[in-house]
Amino acid sequence: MDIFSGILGGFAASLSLANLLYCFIGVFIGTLIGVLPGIGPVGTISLLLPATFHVEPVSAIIMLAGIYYGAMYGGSTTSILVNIPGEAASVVTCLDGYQMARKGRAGAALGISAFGSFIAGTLGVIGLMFLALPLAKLALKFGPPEYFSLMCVGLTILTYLARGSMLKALSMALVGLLLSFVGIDAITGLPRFTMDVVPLMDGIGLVPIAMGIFGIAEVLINLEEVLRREVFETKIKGLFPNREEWKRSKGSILRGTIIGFFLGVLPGGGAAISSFISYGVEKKLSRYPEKFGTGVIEGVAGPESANNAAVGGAFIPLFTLGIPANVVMAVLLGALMIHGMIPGPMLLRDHPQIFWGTVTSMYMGNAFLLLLNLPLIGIWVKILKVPYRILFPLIILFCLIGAYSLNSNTFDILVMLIFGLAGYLMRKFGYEGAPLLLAYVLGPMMEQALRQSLLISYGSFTIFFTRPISAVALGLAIAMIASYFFPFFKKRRLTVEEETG
Amino acid sequence: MVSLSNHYRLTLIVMTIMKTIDTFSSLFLILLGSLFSVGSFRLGIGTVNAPGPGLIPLGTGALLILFSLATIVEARLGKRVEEKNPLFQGKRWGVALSVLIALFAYVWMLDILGFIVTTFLTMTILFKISEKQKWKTALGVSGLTTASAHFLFAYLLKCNFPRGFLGF
Repeated sequence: MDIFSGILGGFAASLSLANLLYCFIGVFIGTLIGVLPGIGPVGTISLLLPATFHVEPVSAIIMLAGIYYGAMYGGSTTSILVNIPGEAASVVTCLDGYQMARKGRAGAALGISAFGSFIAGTLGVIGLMFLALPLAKLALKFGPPEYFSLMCVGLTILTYLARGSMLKALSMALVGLLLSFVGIDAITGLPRFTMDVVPLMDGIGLVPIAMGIFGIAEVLINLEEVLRREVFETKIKGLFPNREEWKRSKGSILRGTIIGFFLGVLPGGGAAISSFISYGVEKKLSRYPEKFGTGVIEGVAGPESANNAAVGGAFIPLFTLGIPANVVMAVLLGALMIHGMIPGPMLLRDHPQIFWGTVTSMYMGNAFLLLLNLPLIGIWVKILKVPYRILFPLIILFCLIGAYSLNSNTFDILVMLIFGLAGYLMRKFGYEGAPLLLAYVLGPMMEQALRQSLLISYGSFTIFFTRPISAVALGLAIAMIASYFFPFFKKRRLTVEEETG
Repeated sequence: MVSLSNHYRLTLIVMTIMKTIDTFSSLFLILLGSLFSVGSFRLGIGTVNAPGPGLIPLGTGALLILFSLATIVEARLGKRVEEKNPLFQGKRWGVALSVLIALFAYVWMLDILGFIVTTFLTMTILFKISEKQKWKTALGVSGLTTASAHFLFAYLLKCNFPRGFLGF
């Protein structure tokens, strides 16, 4: 299928009234949770996942994807007006966005972040269309060893980029793998690690784990802090940046787009990191780096564009290889599998409408978001003022009902709460949830690929190193883990030397 | 000078706490890895040529034990002193704990008292827990929330919520 018939078919799917509605609902909810603290896209997507069981797979993915990029728009609103990022990806927007608001340029800051997001989001989608096809063609030639090695390197990059200790992140990835083994073994049909608990035969559900770690735990952490959110009282007027501001932002938006798109493709890259890097690049390239942090429009335009372009990029590994680049994509992968789709190169060949429908819906979604976020900004500001003490019981209730509705069973609520507690303690002890969830989703695929590879090679592990793509990927993973240890020992040696001599 | 030495002492305390919590959390993960490894042995390891259902979980569990041991070593050598988060100090962790207890009670009571009663009770507690809220307000908001949730999910979306011994 060539790209143009693909686009046409995609628009035919995404422009149907039902799918336009799903897209709108998705971006609307996305903006809402982007504005609200305490629940992010991962929690929300898993929460709404059961609601999509009965709709067409393409509609489900359109809506769930809308939540993801919608949250990127919504997150910037709180950063600019309240100095509290709604999402991790809008943390840097606080630096200059809030300062702009204090200087009376809140409108321009909101405007440039919406326009920048729109431009970057759209360019990201175009990049996605042109890069996905050749990559998927290449991926058709991959065998189990390549897949296994690619998943290894994906997980390693994610842990490498983790905040804090890479060792702790690696441990979390391993815990995620172990959790994924619970249930009936696909090859032998034997129950594994179920402790004779009947509901565990089907495995621990993705939805309760994700809602626990990214929903309940998030609420608990927020409850500890006494959140004082003061909305910056200012008349938001003139959402259009002036000509001077446009001129200064143009380059930032383009650079942000490129940075975001390519980092989005990388596992673990994603929106948050690309926004940080974009801010750094803008500061470095600027003729007045010292002014960054005092309300420079480039510091808003760059990162906001980057985090939206990253969304487009992040879909590439999911649709072409079936390997999620970040946690949101992992949950989407779970969604696809629940709908009976196996993400990967076959998806593009066998169910092209899923890929093209989703991609083209993102054009619509970006247009909806521009409408939702600029003329209707007043509504979101009002929602921002809802106090957290009213908000959090509602978030919790949605989680409880969402978990229960999976199987009309209290067992899933219990699993969610256990992972809520675990996620809360993990945050306290400095462990990240993302590697756990990503590994949990990849686990069954990794195990299958590993077993198949060993069958092909008659039990020899050299198969991973004799095939070039696999060898490069595994080599990269090993190098990253080694690089963590070596500076550590080097530093240790230095301190010993200092002490001894 | 006094404040400097105080600061030094505080840093030392924080470092010790970090070491302790890293050790504790790693010990927990080592236990988890061991449990999975023992379970894997029981399932059957097979051989590399013909892997049994326990082979890959065993490898994963072993790696988890290894990385957790490395985390302990790393914490003992005091590599990461920059990461100091006083665990429960100055935080309203009591609120978080009470919410968790309320939620576990929710699961336990749901099948006994039914969706409407349990949700109403739990929501009232949650609305009351976080900040000073009048009982009247908490009860009112909770009633409204429970009624809307029941209308939306049970009536419109046809979720089958458990009925309690009271019949609703």
